[in-house]
Amino acid sequence: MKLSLVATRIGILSFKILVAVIVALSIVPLVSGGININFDTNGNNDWQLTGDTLALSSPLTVTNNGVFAINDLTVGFTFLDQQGRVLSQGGSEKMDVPAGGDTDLYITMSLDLGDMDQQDRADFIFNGMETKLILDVDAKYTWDLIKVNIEGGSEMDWEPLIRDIDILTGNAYLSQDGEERFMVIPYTLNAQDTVFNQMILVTTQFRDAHGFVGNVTNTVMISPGMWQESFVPISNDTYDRLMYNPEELSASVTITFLDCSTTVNETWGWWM
Amino acid sequence: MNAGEFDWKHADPKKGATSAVMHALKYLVLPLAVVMIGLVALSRAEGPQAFRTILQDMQFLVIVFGIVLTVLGFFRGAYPKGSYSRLTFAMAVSVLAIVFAFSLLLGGRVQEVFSDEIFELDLEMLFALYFVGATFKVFMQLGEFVDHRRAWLEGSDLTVPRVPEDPKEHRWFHDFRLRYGSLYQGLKLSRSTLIGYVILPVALIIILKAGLSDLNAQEVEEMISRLDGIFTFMLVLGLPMTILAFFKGFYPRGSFSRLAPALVMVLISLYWIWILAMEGRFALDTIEDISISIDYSGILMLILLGSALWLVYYVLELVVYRREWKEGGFRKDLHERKKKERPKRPEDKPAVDEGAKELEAKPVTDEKPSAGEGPAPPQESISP
Repeated sequence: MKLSLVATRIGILSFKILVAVIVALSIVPLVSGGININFDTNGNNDWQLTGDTLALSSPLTVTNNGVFAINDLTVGFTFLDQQGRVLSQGGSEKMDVPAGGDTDLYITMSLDLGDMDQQDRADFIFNGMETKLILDVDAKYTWDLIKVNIEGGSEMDWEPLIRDIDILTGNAYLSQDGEERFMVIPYTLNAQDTVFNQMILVTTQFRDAHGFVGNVTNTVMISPGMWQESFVPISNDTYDRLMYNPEELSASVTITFLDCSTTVNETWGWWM
Repeated sequence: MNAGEFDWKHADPKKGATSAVMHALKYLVLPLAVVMIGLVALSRAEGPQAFRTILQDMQFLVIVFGIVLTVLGFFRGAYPKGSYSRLTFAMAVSVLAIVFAFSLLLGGRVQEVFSDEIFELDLEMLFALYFVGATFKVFMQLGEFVDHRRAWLEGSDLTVPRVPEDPKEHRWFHDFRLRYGSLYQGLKLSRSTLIGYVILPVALIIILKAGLSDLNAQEVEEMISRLDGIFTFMLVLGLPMTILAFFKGFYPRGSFSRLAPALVMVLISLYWIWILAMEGRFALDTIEDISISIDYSGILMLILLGSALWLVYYVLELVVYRREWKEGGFRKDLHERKKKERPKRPEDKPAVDEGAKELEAKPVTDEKPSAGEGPAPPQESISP
């Protein structure tokens, strides 16, 4: 065979071997677990509420023991409601992970409750919600010749932010402060850590059997194991009557948070 | 057929011995080694012991067929190309090799054991694929005979055309004349293409399908249907490739008749790679809500570029060999000229030299051997 043809054959063969080596070097680290993504498991990754927005900032450590650098690594997320509507969407900045190195990637997932309509938001706060979280990871590898996209979805059950609102009718009592008379209605509620120290509006309404209606609105800071008392002003007549007579009373507590509210009603027998 | 062509005086024992060694390696040593390794592995491990009986039966067959094929291989190699004696032994080897392969199925017992112990695999289908390739081997022997027959009968350089051609009169489309072609080379390349582009991939698909079907999982059904698509695709592209490969091998280097199918083959093979590599995109979305998609079109482009370089190679081959082929008088390309191997003339050696000298002085005339000359004893057909 002629030298020029031999040289061409060798050239083609060398090129093919080079490509085969590139392919092998690209695949081997992926197969042998040379590329790892580790989530922070120290517990510093709770959701935080700021304004209307729930956010989770979680560091990811990407280890690349492969031969080639990982370029333009991004982690994106999408929250969908039960009907498949997008509630929130976002992602991380593009990052490069050099070969043989680690890179910390901060991903901040956020869910803006203000973007939801009021009914959904109320459900989310007081009843909890099932959402679908879709995480997708994009990266380029082997001099950007290989592009990888991994997308994973999972159901995410949100516990109510504020729950277990209970009027403690058995502990209600009459109170006076100077000339003012009150029906004191205690109530309790539980809340998630996420909303501790947030302010809520509590409107307590009292109604007796003779048509008297009184109410009071307070701003209360959410705290663990909340036990509060609402001092509902009442008339002197009502006060005097209730002081010595049994009667059927009713009360309601309305909690308002992020422009959404929920009401709990109770009726009980006074001195009965 | 001339019985005189079986005379031992035409044979070359050295070539026979070389051929025998090659046949022994192929049909005796290698298969026997595989069987022995299998038996040793079974004796040491807790493998499916039903294979032990199968392997023991195979061992006997390998020894018997291996020895017979080695002996036949000796005679095949010893006799010169173009002789009935070589054709007879070569055909015997090719046909017996098929019988050998078929007998290794042990009348369906291997398939039964395979199905019981591993998974349901259609070994008869795999044998049918082997049979197609092996049939080409049989035809290759006929091709070799046709290619070398005249040379052996006349003791001439078989590559020299009978009709002397004036290179100035030769146009590019004349390259497609059948007389420049070599049946053996055409069939040989056709066979290797068929094996590479159809038989092996289809066999792999059959094995993969059998393995996946055995898993009996819903996730693999889509994969199986994709394999069916690839199966059809292999046949649709593989068969035209096989036909083109015949013409590429058939015509000599330096001819447009070789260049044209070679270029088309490269283009088809590029498409073959593109489709087989799923157009550079792989998507898997069946694992518990996780979908993985890999876009490796960049790598695939590199692979295609590497394969496309063959276009350059074949053009270069035409440029490099064209002049030589013209100056050589438009010879057949039997890939043997470099060996300086002159076909052994049935007569005594001095006559060969004399004939060869005369050939150098003037081109061979266009006299075809008469009806009686072909099958007649070689001595009678020699014109000088």
